[in-house]
Amino acid sequence: MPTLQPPTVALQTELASNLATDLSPAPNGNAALALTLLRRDLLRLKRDTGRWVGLVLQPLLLWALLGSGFGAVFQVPGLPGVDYHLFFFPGLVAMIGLFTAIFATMAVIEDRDHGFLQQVLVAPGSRAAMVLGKVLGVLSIAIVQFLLVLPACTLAGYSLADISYGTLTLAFILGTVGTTSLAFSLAWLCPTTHAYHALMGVLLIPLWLISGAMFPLPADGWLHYVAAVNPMTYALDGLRHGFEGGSSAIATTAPIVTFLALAAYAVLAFALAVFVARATRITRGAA
Amino acid sequence: MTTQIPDMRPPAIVAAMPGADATVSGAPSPSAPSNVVASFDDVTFRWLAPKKAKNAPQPPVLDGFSLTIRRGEHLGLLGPNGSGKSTALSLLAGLHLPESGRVTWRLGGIDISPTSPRARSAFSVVFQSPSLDGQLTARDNLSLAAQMRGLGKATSSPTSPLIDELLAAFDLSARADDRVKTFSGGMKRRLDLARALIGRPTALLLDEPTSGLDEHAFRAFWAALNMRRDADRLTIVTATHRPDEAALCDRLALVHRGRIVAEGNPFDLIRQLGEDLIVVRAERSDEVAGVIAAKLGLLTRTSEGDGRLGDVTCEVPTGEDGARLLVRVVELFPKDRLDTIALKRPTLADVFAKLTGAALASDLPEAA
Repeated sequence: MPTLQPPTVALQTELASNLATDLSPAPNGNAALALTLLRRDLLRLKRDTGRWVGLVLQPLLLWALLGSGFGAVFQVPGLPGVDYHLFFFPGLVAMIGLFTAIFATMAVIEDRDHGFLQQVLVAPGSRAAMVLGKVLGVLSIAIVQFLLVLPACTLAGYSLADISYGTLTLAFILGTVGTTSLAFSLAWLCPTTHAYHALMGVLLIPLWLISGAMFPLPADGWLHYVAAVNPMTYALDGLRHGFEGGSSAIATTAPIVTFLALAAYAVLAFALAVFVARATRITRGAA
Repeated sequence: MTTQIPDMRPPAIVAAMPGADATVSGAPSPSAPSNVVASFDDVTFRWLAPKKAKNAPQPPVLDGFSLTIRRGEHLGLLGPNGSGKSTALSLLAGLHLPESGRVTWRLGGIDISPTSPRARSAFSVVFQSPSLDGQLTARDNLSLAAQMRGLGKATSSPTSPLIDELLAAFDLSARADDRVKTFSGGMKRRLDLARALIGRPTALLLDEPTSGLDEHAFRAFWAALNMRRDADRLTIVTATHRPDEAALCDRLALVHRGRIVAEGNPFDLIRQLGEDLIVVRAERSDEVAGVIAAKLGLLTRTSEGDGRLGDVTCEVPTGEDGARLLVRVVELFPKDRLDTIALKRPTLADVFAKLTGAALASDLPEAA
């Protein structure tokens, strides 16, 4: 039978040192991870000066050109005299959220397998924190872009004094969170950026087109029913309510319905993104 | 030689200490030696079958894989691409879960799952491709890594002394404010390593860390890492297919088709192979090997050479004069029958070839 010897001083020092290393206070991994991803997106925006031009000019150019082209032939049923520049401006703001979400989450695909997100996957934080960080990062960029474009609403015919800023901000945040989460789920599931491009072309961009962003929605017919279940319809209605002091005549739903639907969209889309991120990356080997 | 340190820590006390992780994968195991920092216990892993072939059995990537990693050692997993060494590393990093068996980190006296935040605070990973943001500067990348590991605002600031120190240690100070996408492969690797060392992890997992690097960059990478290793009392696990990289490890596990075929100190493994090797390159190498084995009684093995030429490797028995044997081999064949013949010291690639019959350079078919 081997006899147990008491530990030597050197051994005790070694054990104490090991304990100190192993049991150093655990950082708040979730908060650290989410804030890191948020800061990363803001740093990328700060470092990429050329992007600022695109952030402002691209949406405004689209708005000005479409407004000029469609202005002569456009009419909202039941609301004669509504200018297309005014009609399209909330759609433009919704587009800012959508396009920011699409381009920012597209980076997730390569980033996940060959870039920065690899270290995120082994960081001491949960997948929910990872999704939250990415969504907050995209939301921050979208808000910057939104604030830069907002003054142009006066050119469309809106008055800065009449805007319900709380309603507008809430609608923009909920809509962007929902769309970013949805785009994140699709990006996470897509093996390549080409597949993601194709999916965006047949899914998210059509959702924006049939939200009432570019043309008034019909009162009946299949398009009416598709628009009724399209979450972006509610995102757009929320923005219209915001631009028109809290309640818009052009919006298809009442404010309370709009925001209940938008909140449900944001929560469900975020939950879906967390589910997808958790289910598909940590896989158990199986026969 | 690694000292076996008995575990003197009562697990109940350890578990009750502030910061001890409650999400353990198993009960404390006081019988395990305290210098074990992580272990694989009879692990089997296979990738999920593609949807179109749900009923087709997938070959296991890891099959009965058992290994312990000791505190402070540099352990190498040596094998060709597709042998399972990177998968083993990904299980250790908690990116995948085993089909059967257990992968555990042993921290503070208790066994912890690799997916728990406590384990993830204890290790860092350097992946095959650098996990850096090319659009950001080197300073930004280190700052983000520090923030991600939960270091305070002052420490994770881009201009913090910690980040300055790391940039200097890895010879990157001059390019600290340049975008990483403008860096060479070697610089990206050094930056990735500096990133992984932030927060003083207990262990560093390196997956083919020097792939694609030239000789100079290879040496610079390992020189920088070895300088930090002693200071930080790091445990390192390196998955590699390079014999020269494997030779830098304290201990090696040779991985072939998801199993460990040999384990030991690199020099001991080479020594077990015997003395020098005679390598003959010729047409119809099987025939040449047969003649050498029959006439001289040498152990031979053949492998693919260059085009129609094949290689025959002959082991020089202990105590024999390699040069004299080489002359005897030449004398066995008519002039021009052999293309080349050479006497060389055995390497880890030779050890691997002898044990598995496969070459380290070859890519095995992917199991996934």
